[in-house]
Amino acid sequence: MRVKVETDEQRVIQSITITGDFFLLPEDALWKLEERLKGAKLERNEIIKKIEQVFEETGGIVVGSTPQEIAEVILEAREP
Amino acid sequence: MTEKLRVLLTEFPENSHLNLAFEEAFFLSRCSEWTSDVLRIWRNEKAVVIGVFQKAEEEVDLDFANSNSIQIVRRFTGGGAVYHDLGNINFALSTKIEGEGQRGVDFLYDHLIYGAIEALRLLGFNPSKENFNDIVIEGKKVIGVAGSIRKDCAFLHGAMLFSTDLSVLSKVLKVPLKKLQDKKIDSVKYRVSTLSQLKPEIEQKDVILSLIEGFTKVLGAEGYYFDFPDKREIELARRLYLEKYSTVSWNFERRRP
Repeated sequence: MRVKVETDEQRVIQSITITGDFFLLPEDALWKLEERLKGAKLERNEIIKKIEQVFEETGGIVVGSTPQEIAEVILEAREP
Repeated sequence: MTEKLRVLLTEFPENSHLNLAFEEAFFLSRCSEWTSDVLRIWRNEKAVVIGVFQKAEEEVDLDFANSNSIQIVRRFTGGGAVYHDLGNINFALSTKIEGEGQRGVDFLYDHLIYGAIEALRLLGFNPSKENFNDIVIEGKKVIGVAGSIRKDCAFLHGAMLFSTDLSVLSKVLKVPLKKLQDKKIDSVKYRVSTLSQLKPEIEQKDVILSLIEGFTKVLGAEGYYFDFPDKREIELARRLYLEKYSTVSWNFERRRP
């Protein structure tokens, strides 16, 4: 999983793309997640909350991984 | 399932985009109840098929692909990039999820995947499953599968390395080094072999029949029959081809599904 993220001075996400070899069902939940993360602060609790919200709304399931692990990859992402 | 399994050998090896359009068309038609369960076995002549969440430039050596006439097409399921030539045999199963309270993903990766594992057993191998979606023989990956779910219907497809040119595969696919270091992913994903290397006497027709038998067994079908795609499936595939699989935005710009 690769994450490219752009934030402003306040660490608010301006754009984010999550790409790579992983399994998320329904597939469209990934684009919903990217939308939801725009405007969120790049900060652990907020990211986990957004991921959990989208997963709850879409019935999203990550196969072979967990929402927490996705959050970790996002938090580790460096700006391009 | 107690009826016979419908089997299609519909393929367009020279047009990977049309092949992938049919892949989704068969699944959607199964979901719409137009058709019964369907197993499709097919090939691409020269293509890299990337996962729905992937970007071609991150996974594929685009210059190498271009100069070697290797097509690039994005599928509607997740997972990683695979290289297809005529030595790679693809299978795709569209069916309904059975069993009360059965989680769709478990149905895919703990049940349907055994159709492919059984096929390898019938060919005399001793296969095992790794990383939930890889099938390995003697520690080397020979099949990778990916699936999707729409409500109560399930889709599982996979690529079987029968006699694929692995030298081309290793040149056209970029191996993400970071992933190799990731303890959760066994590097078997990148240690591959072909059935022909492991057992040279196996013929393509044996593989086809084993896949049919393997999936017939896992679905509990009473045998199988060969069929053509019907008119609605062809029309749906044509639409998916024009609006999705033949477009740059779908294949290269990660357009939303």
